[in-house]
Amino acid sequence: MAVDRFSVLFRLLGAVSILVLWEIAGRQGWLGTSFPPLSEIFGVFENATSRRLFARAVSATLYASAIAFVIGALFALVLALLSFTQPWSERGLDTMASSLYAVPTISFGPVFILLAGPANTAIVLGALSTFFPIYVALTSALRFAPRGYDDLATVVGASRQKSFFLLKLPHAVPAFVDGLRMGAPAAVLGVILGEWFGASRGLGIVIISSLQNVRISQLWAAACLSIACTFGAYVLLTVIYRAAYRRFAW
Amino acid sequence: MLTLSILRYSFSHLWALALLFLIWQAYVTIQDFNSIVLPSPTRVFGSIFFELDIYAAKTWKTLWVSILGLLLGSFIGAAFAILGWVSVVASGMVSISAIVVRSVPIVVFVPILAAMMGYTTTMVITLVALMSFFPSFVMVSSGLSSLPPAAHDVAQVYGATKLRKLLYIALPASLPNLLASIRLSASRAILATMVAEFLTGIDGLGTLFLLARADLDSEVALGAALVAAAAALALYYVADIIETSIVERLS
Repeated sequence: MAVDRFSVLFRLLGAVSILVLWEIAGRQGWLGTSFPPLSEIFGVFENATSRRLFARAVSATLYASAIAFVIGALFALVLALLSFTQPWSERGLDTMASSLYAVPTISFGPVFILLAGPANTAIVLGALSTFFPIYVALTSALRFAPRGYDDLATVVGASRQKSFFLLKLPHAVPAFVDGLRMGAPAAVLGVILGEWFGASRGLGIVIISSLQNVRISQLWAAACLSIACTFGAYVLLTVIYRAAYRRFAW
Repeated sequence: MLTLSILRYSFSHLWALALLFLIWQAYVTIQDFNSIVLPSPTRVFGSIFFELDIYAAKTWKTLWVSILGLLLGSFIGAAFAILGWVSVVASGMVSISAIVVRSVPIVVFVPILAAMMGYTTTMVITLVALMSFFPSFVMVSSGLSSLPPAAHDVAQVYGATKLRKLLYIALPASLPNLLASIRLSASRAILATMVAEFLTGIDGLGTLFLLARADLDSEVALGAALVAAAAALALYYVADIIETSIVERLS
């Protein structure tokens, strides 16, 4: 316990010293004028107008991310179940999933502006980015159910359906939630990238227009908020993952 | 017989991908789109085929920038991990970095890096290196921390110096994880380069895509996207092959 407290203290000290170093480097201009001190970045939020701007942007991005996340997760769930229950489809779906994952997300942009409209492009890109980690986590969990239990199910004469619903599916729950945990930040990132293609609001828009108008501290503030969003999504899913792990893991 | 098994193999692996292209082709044909709006896949492939030299030059630029950044970031990450293994002070950084890998989108830093370093190739390489650093650091650290205790004991018994431990235990043990992290970061590296080029107009596939879009040349824009995807996949598989052959030789 004492060791734990000590290491937590150590980490806190490390984090604080990085922040202090950042502030000093920014004030002294060690890394040029594009590296503002922390106080200036957070100073952006003191202005009521920018606060409103950021609040609108964050809520738009989070809303789009949530929709993207649900769509991506549903697709992953359906395709993973298809690949597991229909062995002929397995390899083809795997190749498609990893190819889609390899395609740089932004290059989907123009296609989906056309198919889904600029407003929905962000959602589609978010859903695409969230799909892959969830699909991979779920398929591998379904394929590698613990051998002993599988044999037991066969020995006691469980039907395929029974062993699927009572053994494989519950066993895959923690991995599925772990996939969700990796998919959530990916959804937010996909949405932000998608917003660069002419959404009407969102953090992506703030980032791009800050860059174009050389509003450096606003740019940093928007980037920090983006990270706060992805990190928040990750933490939220981690809490759920721990609960799922406690309930389902064996 | 051989052709039959090749056919069967490619069908079982590629049917879903082929289906996507078929749907795309059918959609364009049925809706009778102008090729500015949405060109058919055959026209996109045609554009790649007829302007192969342009595509090749841009792909080469994007590829070497990605590979350089990928290797740089991964090696620095591994070096930090080994440093942490030797000194134990830096090991507190591992858990923080593990969270960074999973939750911080490095691509969001493109505008910031561009503002700080200018619209240069160095900026793109730095970005890719930054992105590859964290996975490598985390994976190599975890590889080193799961070394069998016997390895330490043997070294202790023979009175190995720190340097020798590093050379004969740490380096060989970290190699497989380093290679795995390079493989995992490979396709992301192309993505990061593409995004950076797209936003800043630095020469490469991302810029080919950007300019083609501006010229309403959808065939080239989608061509650039497809080529980037192929490059990302190729880089992944090359990394995979290198990893497998080296790991096989080691074990």
